[in-house]
Amino acid sequence: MMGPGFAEMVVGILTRPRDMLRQVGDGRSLGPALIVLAMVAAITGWSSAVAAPHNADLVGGPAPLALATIAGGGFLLLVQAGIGYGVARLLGSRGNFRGLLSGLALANVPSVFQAPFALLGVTLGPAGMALNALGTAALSIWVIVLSVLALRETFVTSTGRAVLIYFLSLILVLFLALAVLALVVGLLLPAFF
Amino acid sequence: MNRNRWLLLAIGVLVIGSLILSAVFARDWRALVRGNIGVITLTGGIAEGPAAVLGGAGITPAAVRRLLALAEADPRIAAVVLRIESPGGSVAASQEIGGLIRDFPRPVVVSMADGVASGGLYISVFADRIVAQPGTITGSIGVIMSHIYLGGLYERLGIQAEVLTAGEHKGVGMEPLTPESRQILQEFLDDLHRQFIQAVAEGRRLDLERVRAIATGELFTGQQAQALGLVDRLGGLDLAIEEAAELAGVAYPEPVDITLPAVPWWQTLGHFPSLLLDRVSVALLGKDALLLRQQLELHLLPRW
Repeated sequence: MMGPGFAEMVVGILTRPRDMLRQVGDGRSLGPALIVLAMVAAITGWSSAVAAPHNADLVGGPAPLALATIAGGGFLLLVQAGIGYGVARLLGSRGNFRGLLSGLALANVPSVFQAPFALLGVTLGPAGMALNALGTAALSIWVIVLSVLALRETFVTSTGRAVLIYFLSLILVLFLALAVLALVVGLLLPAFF
Repeated sequence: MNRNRWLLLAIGVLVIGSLILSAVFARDWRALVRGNIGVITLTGGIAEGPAAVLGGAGITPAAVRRLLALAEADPRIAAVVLRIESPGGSVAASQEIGGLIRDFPRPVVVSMADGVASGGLYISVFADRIVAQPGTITGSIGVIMSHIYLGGLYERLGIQAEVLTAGEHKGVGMEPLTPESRQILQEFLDDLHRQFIQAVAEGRRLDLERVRAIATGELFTGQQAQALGLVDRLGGLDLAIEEAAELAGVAYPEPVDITLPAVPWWQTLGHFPSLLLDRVSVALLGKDALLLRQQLELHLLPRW
């Protein structure tokens, strides 16, 4: 049986997420899902550059920022899925890793709506910037909800356990990031003394 | 087209349309791709090399050349703002930097910070416009030079030093000043002073006599300097960016800092032997030894 098409995937994750995440849970749609993620990341990166050009300057402009967002998005997806998969296994759940990657990639689709919020930010002044911030926060919550759904459908588990897997993974990611930071600082510090 | 494709098309139009409109409303495209007004910060004394002792020597011709080359190589940079904080420094290095600024193919605006005096002013006059705060310290159109005679020190240390020269005035710097040698050095300084006055008159398009009248070495506030024609506008960095944008015909100025790549930490270890020598000198001979070394580095070195 063929996996869902590109249009079906993008529209499906927004209009009937549970069905779509269940459909991609077998992992056969990983390729198209990753393409969707790359497009979403590019749009998100470009939107950020439009709303805050000084941030874009830090990495050399909007195009590098969009590319960095794509690369960073892919890396974060791998880390998030890897840790989420490990945590789920520890909690006794079983699922398809490729399916999890597909689901978590598609969970980012609502971020494309950052573009209209960025437009409000640059056209309506302070009120628009406030709307932009509120919209971005709402979209982040939407992405989190879809990520939890992706975990639930991939591991065929309860919503409560999916929430537990999501937040345990998040804590582990933060812990790992701090550990890497401490390691880097620990390696560099002696060089200054 | 089925329902999914229609919805995808609608989402695409909304998202892509928003991105395009955001870019149009935000600023011009060149600014969106990157800043269009390059901002270069020049801080410290002016000297040929970073090891000189003239106020920390943060401004060197080599560094300015590299920074301006970075700006010139970027076609999106329409104009450059030089944010300067400098008490001046060595003469030839200032002239080298002045030439680089004068020959830069795009508009250059100087934004004077706290103090831009003497050589700092010298390099500034080669810019197309100068912006300073009312309280900026500037001016000091003059030349200074130290002559140090070490005979007394040698005597105290029991060192008998004799200077042999070929050429009537070769040993001017090694002997106590005579009326004749003093006159030679004064003429030398006067010629440099004339060069300074000439540069200010040409750079600021001022009457030579008018500049000569104010070239007494005195300091001016930014406000006084504007009245004298040494400064165009009173304001800060933002005003300088606006001025640069106006000169370059840029409707939406978007500043971007132009900096040299950071020096890797292991390259800074190259300064270690010099620092060690300073520490050893101070430990063995006291702080006077370091002071003497610094004075000797300035010996017969004209500065502005």
